[in-house]
Amino acid sequence: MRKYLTVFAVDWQNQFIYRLNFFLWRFRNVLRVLMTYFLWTSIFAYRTTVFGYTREQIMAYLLLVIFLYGFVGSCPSNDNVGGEVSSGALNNFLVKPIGYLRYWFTRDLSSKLLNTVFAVGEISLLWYFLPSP
Amino acid sequence: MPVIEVHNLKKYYKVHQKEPGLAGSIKSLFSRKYYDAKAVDGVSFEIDAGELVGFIGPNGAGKTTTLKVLSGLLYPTAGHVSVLGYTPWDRKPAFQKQFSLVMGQKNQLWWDLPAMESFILNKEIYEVPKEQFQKTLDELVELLEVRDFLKVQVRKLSLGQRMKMELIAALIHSPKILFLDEPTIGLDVVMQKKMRDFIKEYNHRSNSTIILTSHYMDDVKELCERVIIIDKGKLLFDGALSEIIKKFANHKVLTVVFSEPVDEEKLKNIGQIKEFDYPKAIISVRRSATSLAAAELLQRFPVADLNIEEPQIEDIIREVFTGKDLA
Repeated sequence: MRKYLTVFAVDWQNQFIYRLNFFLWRFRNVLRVLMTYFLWTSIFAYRTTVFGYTREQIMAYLLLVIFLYGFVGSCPSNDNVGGEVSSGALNNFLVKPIGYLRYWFTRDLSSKLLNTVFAVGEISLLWYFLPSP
Repeated sequence: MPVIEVHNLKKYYKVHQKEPGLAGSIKSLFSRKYYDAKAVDGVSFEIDAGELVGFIGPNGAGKTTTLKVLSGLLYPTAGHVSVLGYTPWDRKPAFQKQFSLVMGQKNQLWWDLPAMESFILNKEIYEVPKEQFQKTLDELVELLEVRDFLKVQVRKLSLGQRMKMELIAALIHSPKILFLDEPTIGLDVVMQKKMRDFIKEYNHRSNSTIILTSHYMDDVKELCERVIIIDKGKLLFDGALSEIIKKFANHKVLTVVFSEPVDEEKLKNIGQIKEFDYPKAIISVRRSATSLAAAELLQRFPVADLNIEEPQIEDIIREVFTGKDLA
């Protein structure tokens, strides 16, 4: 178990290496929330319901989608496993007493958790600063 | 008691041949012709604990394939292999904790992080106790002189520094067996020498068994008492390095310096001229005819200096690989 905890820790360290990359990534996430917020705010400017939904319902739905997408969507194994098999980097793992699937499961999990932790922070901030519906 | 036993190892790769062009590609979607590439074809050897064996052969000889079978990355097509009493391709953790594979062209370190993080990860993967980790790390860092670079991102290291870090990562669990595949590839001569010294020293200190493949004969000459030569998947030679000369060199090399110009045509009667650049000539003659050739040279030519030498090991091996006769 400890080996996978270390994989987890190393994965987070790896994500914090390039600061600009990291901050832009978070900025993109905030931007996405803001864009949807203002889009729907302007749609609801002259009506109270769209497709039978109120503004509050739509906003709650969107926030939930953005939040869940962060968890479901961040999946580094998707982008990397194929390449590792093809390049032979997989060999590094096959000669060691570590499970390759568990290794990537851990990295997926760590990435999802990182994304979620920051998403919760950002959404709370927006919640606080944006005029409530 | 041998720690590595290989008996009649065969590994055939199934390779598909594609006909050229897009039409060939489309055809290959539905029907493919395969042939067997015999990477390793009936190799047997045994290696005892503490030995440092050089594994040499030209490109495509089957060196890396053999190492991959020994480390459990490939199933063999046929044959019996036992490493430390385990069957490598069962990939048992107890076995994996006792060996290491270093490939000069592949890296295991985390590219964007300092090497130290990879070491710590390996410590956990191999379940090395904290004190032992610290002790091994200190020793290796000292031996390889890399203390200043432990906190530097791997990508910022030079190739030589990185290779040293790769070695540390591979040795942090004190493996009993070490497979080194081209550990000095791409390094400059000074760094190659340092690597060699380290490997030698490590072998002495830890009494670990090391198999080393290399294209650089200097690596093998300096490190290995025993060499295994394979070519086209077959074992050509297994024994002491010095035995190679006895077994394969059926000629000697005469280096002559002349005091006056000589006729090259006449010189050809002595033996095969390898190089002639007046006043110096290098002539290769059959071993049995060496003294006769030397006497003739001295009698019939204006010789200022004459040297009789064994051929270089590099030359012998090259000849063995190309299947040519030297003399």
